[in-house]
Amino acid sequence: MNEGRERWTSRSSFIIASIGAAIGLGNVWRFPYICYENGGGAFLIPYFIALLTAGIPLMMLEYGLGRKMQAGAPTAFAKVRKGVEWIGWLSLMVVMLIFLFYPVIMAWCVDYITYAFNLGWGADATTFFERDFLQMSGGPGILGGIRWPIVIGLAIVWLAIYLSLFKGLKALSKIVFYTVITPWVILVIMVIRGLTLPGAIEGLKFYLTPNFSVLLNARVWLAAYGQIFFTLSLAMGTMIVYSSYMPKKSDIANNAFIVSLANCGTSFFAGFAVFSILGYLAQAMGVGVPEVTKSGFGLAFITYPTAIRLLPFIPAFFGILFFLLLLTLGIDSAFSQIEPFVAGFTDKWGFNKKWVLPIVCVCGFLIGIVFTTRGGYYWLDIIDYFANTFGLTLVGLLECIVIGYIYKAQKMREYVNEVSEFRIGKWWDICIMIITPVILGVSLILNIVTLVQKGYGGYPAWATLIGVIIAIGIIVLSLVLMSIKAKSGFGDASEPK
Amino acid sequence: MPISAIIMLVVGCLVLYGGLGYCLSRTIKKKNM
Repeated sequence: MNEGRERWTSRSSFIIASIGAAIGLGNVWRFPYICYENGGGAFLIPYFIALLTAGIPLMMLEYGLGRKMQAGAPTAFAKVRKGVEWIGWLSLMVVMLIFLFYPVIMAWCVDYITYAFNLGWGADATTFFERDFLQMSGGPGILGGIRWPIVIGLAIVWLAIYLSLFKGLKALSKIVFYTVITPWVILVIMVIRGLTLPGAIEGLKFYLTPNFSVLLNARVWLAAYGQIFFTLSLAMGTMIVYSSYMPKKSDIANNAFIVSLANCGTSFFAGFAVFSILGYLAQAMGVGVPEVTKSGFGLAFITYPTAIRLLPFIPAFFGILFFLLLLTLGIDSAFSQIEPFVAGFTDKWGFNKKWVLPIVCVCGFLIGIVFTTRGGYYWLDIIDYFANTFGLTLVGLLECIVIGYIYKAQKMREYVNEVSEFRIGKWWDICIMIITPVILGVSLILNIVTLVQKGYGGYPAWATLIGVIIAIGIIVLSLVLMSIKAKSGFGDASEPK
Repeated sequence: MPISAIIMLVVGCLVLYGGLGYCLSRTIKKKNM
């Protein structure tokens, strides 16, 4: 153990911080929709198999790597082998792309909390969101001026991120306790409210009724593995750096199970809040549930606000609660994106965190202003697509190859077993060496083929090309960062115990 | 609600919340939180 390294105040702080990192906006606005779209309740079967064969093993891998090497992603990979340090940097470059736009979505939530007081989105939430709030321009080629209410929201979010992180892990250990518990309390209230509405059961039927025939469809299995991979905040360097701050007695295997199950349990539970309200909305509008079912921004900023406005009792209260839910879900994910990025620089060059953190926050805010313009929505969508679909998948694939074949999966498994409450068997080696990389590789190839054949989202080819250039650019940047001379002792081959 | 949906609900709860409870109870028993 590196005695000088900052530590979580307790194992429970580490677990709660990891749960906070894993649980994000996608748990509410993505999982329920993916579940509904891919066979309803039957989707749980590939989802659980993906959790056991890819999600939890990869989580153990990242925890093991961080705890063993006592460093953030770049230094940890450098300690495995000098030449693979760039993979750690690549994960931080991808997470940088994400933390440039993620706080903008949270800024929308901040603004919507203020609108919720008088249900400011009115009867037509679509028009309000696209024309009044975002004032969307004609396409990504027209930025069309800054939307100041979003900039103010963005400044508030970045300030909150800075204030939460600047005092170090002791303060963060306390803050994450509130940012993880609060959304759970709100979710319970939203589920109770949803289930007591007329039409709720009809909505839940669409969420849970299984269609087992879809299990023969490879697309459903890929969706399950994709959902598990993205929901656990893997390949971002977060779990590596968080586990490098583990207290001495913390284990790895059981922590990975606890964090993964808590995250997936939250997604499953959020489905009840979403589909009960959708059932109510469908009944109130006299249409079928599939007609009102959406995911992502459409669900959060259009469908859900529409349903909230139709609630019979104190709708403004539930509007505020819903956007507060999204905000608290997002804020600890944002912490978890900034922390590994900052740690990457402080670990390698010994920079003072007190300086790196404010620089990152100010730069993040300033660059993020691009996404607050009238054309910002399009760029947010494009960057999100490239960062998640290609960036994270590539990093996950490389992680499996490096640990599975260069470091050797068996060696990592033996280390994990040394410090864990229960032993993991050879099945873990198979997951890391074969199952996870094959699934991620296939997914990556299919996505590249789709991008080449169809482009993305109907955007002009030049906009997609900029996305490709950014993707290639961050790989080059990772190699450059690897080549810059580090402080003495960096990447020392003597691995800490 | 169809019986198949209720079965999937029970399965989901058992795996996720049962599994979580089991893992937490192991940790709490060892007084290692």
